[in-house]
Amino acid sequence: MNILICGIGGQGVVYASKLLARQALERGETVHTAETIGMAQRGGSVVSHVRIGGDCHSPLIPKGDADVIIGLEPAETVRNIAYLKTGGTVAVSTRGIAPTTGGNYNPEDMLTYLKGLQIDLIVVDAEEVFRRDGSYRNLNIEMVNAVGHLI
Amino acid sequence: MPIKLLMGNEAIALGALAAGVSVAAGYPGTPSTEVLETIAKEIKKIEQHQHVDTVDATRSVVSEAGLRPASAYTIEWSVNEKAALEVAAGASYTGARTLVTMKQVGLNVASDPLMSLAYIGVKGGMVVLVADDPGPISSQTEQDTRTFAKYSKLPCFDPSSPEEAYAMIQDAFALSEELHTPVLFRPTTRLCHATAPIDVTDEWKTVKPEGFIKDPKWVIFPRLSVKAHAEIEKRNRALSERFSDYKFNAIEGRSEAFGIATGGVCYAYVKEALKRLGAEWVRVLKIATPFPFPQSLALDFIDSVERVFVVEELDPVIERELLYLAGAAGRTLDIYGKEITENLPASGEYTVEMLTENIAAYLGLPYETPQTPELPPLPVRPPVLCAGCPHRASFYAVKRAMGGKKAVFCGDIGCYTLGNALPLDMVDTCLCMGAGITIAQGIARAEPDTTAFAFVGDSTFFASGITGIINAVYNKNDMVLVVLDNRITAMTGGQTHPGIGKTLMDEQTAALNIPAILRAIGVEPRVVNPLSLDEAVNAVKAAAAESGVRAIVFEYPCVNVERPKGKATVNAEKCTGCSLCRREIGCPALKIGAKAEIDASLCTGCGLCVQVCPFDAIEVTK
Repeated sequence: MNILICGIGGQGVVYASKLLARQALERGETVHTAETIGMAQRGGSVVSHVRIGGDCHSPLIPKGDADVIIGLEPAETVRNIAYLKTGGTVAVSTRGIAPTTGGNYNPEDMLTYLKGLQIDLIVVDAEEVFRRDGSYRNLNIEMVNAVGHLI
Repeated sequence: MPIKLLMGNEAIALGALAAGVSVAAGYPGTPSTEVLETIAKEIKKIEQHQHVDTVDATRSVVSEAGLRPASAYTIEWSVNEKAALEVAAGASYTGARTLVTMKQVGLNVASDPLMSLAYIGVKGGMVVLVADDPGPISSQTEQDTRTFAKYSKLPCFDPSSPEEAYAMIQDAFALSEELHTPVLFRPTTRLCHATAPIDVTDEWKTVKPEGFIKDPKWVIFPRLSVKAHAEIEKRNRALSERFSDYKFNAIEGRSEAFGIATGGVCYAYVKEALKRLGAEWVRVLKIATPFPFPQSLALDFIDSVERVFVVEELDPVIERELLYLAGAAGRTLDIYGKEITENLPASGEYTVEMLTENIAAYLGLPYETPQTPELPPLPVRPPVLCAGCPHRASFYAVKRAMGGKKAVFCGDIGCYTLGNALPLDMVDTCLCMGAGITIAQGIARAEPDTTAFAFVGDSTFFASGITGIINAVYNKNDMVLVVLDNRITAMTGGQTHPGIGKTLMDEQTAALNIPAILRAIGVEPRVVNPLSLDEAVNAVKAAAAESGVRAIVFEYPCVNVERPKGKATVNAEKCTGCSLCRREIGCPALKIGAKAEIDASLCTGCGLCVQVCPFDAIEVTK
């Protein structure tokens, strides 16, 4: 089982991957993860690879091999869509985060693009999380839960 | 033995502790930083354990085995990699087991003592951990420490997974101590930052240092070097034989036609690619010790197949060894790789996808490269200075003060390299740690009508900035030094340094004062809060108008050191939507619609935009 989690620095991508990894370990499964850490972290794209089960070697999921993509941000989800395997599932948050350097970006375009693909798509309404919690802090947990039945 | 989910760097740290390391020193650098941080964390656990005097379940076994008290460990962020290596060498002379950690460019700084130490040797096991960064993902260069190993004639271990790294670093310590030589240990980024479940031991070896014993062998002289060099060559020949039997150097698979030679994290990529292709039958030579190269094992491999594909990131180390061996032994076979046949890229990081495609072609297997779906235009997210970063204010003050005047802005290594991005555009050069200071002097010498600025961060100032300033004073060079003192080593995640007053182990220590150091060198600095814009601009203007070595110290803590103190808000009635704030300082918290908007989740209330707005439309509420 290959799960790719993507988003923006500060959204809790790495935390979500640790959560998935610990859960897998508790179930008695072996698990490997890999994160992008370093310069990419500052306001940039963050990707975590979680590989559950003993038959993998590379720390990174090869493109086309992810069973599930958890996208905490619509554009980042699209950026990583090539990792999804045929018949894979994508959970995407509706909340777009504009690049810190400015420029136009409409998250709706990304969601429309994803809806047009032949994939199993779960759209998570981030605003509902905000209404409930008063912040987006738990969005990462919410997204993990959204695909919990698959993992 | 508990199974722990460990990052490669954590695994290396715990492996080193299990091997009995008692002195560890390093300088922060991605992707190596977490190794020393993990060791410090583990030792602090013992300290707490001693304080509360309770039995920590995970440490009880250790205590029974005779664990040293926390005070018996020396764990430090050294001032730079050269200092770290020398501290470790000294401790190793007494018989202590020592670890030095750095990134690959740090080895350039530490190479002076290391090249000589290769001749002098050590007593206690000493491992020099150098993390390479194929890509490069967060480094200046893609240099390959395996090549440095050959140049320095030092044994080198190249682990392929966090699990293997945990075991291998313990082997490295044992070998170092047995052969009295420092040993290189070279993980790469994907291993350093990958996590795996690892069966770790709670029993840490205890190595009691014998103490320093006076002997002429510790003093390097040409006569000693002649003898040492000959012995090193002899040792490495023997080690090549011995490494041919080392458990992590191995031949796998049964094919008598197709071989793949690989090492490090590429071994994991190759295994994954072969699995995807259903070609696990391919014979694989895995090289865990690129130097001295396990020649007998490699020759066995050469003799067992008709052709070899060499898969390794960065330098063609394994490829050249195989070509040399086959040639020297008069064997005939085809060797494919990156250098002669150019099957694989000569630089950059490799991926399983690209190796699957290349290996399929090599094996003559059908493989359809997956079609990458066409993507809509995506937002670009380059790394930027954080909202509220004091460096932004410092750069902006210099930019405003020098507007239109001929000036060159020499940058350096750290978060502030990001000052090169638009709209600040304030980094014209960046070379290596500390270089901005001396590059500025060269530019000013060759182009006297230019005002040469050198920006340097606080940690870099201590690491390798001071000597450059002394050079400027001594040689009467002309420059404006701008120290960006944010009270932390920020880029690598917030490490301490000599200016902070606290060590890696949280001990109180002297806080070296940068303005006082400058005064001692003979430079009277202007010390300014960069967030007081007018004052900052005036200080720069005054400095630029003078000649000789001038210095400005911009003092304000990193937003990750001191918590935010307020938020800026926009008065929509006053805001004209001119977007000047955004265009001038490019703060990520500023968004421009019809009016300026401030993202409250990012804003720290630094107040720079307040001072930039010509309409007084922004204010900070505490």
